[in-house]
Order: sequence, then C-alpha cells, then structure tokens
Amino acid sequence: MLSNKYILAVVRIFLGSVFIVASIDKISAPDAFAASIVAYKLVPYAAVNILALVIPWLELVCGIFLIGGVYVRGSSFALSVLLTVFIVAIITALLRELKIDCGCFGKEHATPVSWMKVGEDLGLLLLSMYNLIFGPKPGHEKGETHAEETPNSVAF
Amino acid sequence: MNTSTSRQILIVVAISILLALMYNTFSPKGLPLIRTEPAKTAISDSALFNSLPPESLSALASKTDSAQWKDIKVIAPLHEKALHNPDSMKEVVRTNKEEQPFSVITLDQLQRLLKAHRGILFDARSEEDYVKGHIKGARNVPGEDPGKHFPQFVELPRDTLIIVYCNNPECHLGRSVIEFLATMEFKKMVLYDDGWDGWEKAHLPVDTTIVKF
Repeated sequence: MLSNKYILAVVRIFLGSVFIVASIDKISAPDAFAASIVAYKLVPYAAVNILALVIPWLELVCGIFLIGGVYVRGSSFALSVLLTVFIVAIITALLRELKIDCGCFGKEHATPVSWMKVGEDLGLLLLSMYNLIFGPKPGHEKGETHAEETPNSVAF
Repeated sequence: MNTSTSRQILIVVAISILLALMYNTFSPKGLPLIRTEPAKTAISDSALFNSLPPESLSALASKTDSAQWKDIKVIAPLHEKALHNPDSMKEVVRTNKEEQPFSVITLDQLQRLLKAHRGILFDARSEEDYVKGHIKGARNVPGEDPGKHFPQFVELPRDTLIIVYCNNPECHLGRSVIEFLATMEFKKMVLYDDGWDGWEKAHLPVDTTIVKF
C-alpha cells in the first residue's frame, strides 16, 4: 500500500510543486533571502550569500526532478536534509525568541517564524522521507517513470 | 544508502550549485559570494548637531509638521532633478557604494534630534508593523518599496536630515530606504540602528497615530 506508485507520484508532485513555488521568490530576490538568513544569526556572516544563492536553486532543481520523476531518491534526500536544517533553525529562532521573518517562501509571502511553520516543515519532511524510503530504487527508476507517464494503459 | 543514491545526491547538488553560480553571475541582482559586514560609521554629537545651520532648523521643524508638508505642492524644476552631467550617474552610484551615505546614531542622539525637531523620521518597517506602533512623528516608508513615496521625496530639499529606523541591526529595510534616498542625492542621512527593538527595550512611548505624507 505504502509503496503504491500512484500515491508516490501524487506525493512527489505535491512536494515538487511546493519547493518550486518556495524557490522562485528567493531566486528573484537573493538579497532579501540573504537578509532572512542573517536574521537567524546561525550562519557565519561570510557564508550567508553562498547559502542564499544555492539553497533556492537546490529547492528548484529538486522540485523539478521530483515532478519529472528523475533522481527522485537523490532529490528527496537533499530536500530532507534542507527541511531538517530549516526545522532546527526555526525551532532555535523560536527558543531564542527572535521576532524574525521565516524566509520560507521568500519576501513576497513573509510570515513570522512560528510553531505552525515547524509543523508545516515537519509534514513536508515526512512526505520527503516517505519518498526517500518507498520511492523508486535507483536501478528501477526508469520503469517506474514509464508506468507513471502512461497511467491509462495500466489502469485499463 | 547505496552508491547510486549518493551519486544522485551529488548530481542534484552539483547542478544546483552550477546553476546558482551561473545565474548569480548574469543576474543584475547578483550577490558577492562572500558577504561582508555592512560598515557602520558612528557620528559624533558635534558633527551631528552642528551639521545644520540654525535657520534651516526652524524651516525643517515646520516641514515636519505633516499638515504643512501635505499642502505644499512643489513641482521641482527638471534641471534640479537632473544631474549636471548624465554620465556622472555611474560615478554617483559608485561613490555611494564605496562611501557609506549614512552614519549610525545612538538612542540618545535620536532622542535629542527628535526633541529638537530636527530632520524627518522614517519608519522602514512594514506597514503592518508601523500601524501597530511606532516612534512618534515617524512616517512609514517600507524598505521593501521605498520608491512608493518618490513623489513626496522629490519635494524635499536634498540637504534635509533624514532619520531612518528599522527593527534592529540585522534589519536590511532601513538600509534599503537609505540606499534609495542616496540615489536621489539626499546628503544627510542617519540610521538609528538599534531600531524599534531598541526603542521598545528602553520602554519609550509607543505611538499609533499614523502620520500621512
């Protein structure tokens, strides 16, 4: 049941879309995202820009791969790591009582850090882990993608 | 985890880094790869309080009165807005980037400026935060979109003392407002770097009357 390929496809397309949406704003305004990272006071100042540049592209690339069904495990793993980092960052920000913008979806959709955000990210992490564990094994990926591309032929 | 999963991860990460660096190189909003701390130049009391001749002070004090400023409709002649030599724009932008167009002031300096009705106070935070509470007399110029009030900025004399504050030293909105005003050739700008957090920490009065432009 859990390894049902339709459920897997729905999950990874959902996850992929979320990350693509999250990345666009950050890619278009790297300075604002960098400022969000600075506000967390977790990263050495010199490293902020590199992260602000690479993280959104990682989100975009993984999102596209997930939707396309390519490199699903690699992308899921990368996103799981990212989400874990985000969750830890938000929790520490909350514990340090920092009143900052989450930076999650870029500056156009600014929302303050909250336990709600932690919950959202935990949900996404769960979906990502699910994909990582039950997703197509690297060797079988091609067959899987093929089956999903023509669902009708399988259904009939 | 087997080797092909780790290879997938490597590929995904490598593609992202490559795209990020390529995009950053060609994007007009590209960032330097190594971030440097923004320079903070403090200003001495004497430099700050003697920078304006006394007669212009009273003029400024009346300017800060919202009703009067609102009624003034000055259409600045074009030659005043334009640079003498169009090619010098590059120069202006460059010098502004190298030399900081503003200095950082302390809470004490801010309070003295406010008491003396010197300069115009801008709140660079979001409108939402501004409405909840701000320093008395501050006008909201959101750092996300400082150009929103361009028509009003045009009316101001360029040697007006501009006081900007944001949330805290990490807040980039105040700097964004100052950078915008610097391109408009405003000369005298100060940033209260501790911002709203510093103001609240000192238990100073919170004002909720919205000052219109």
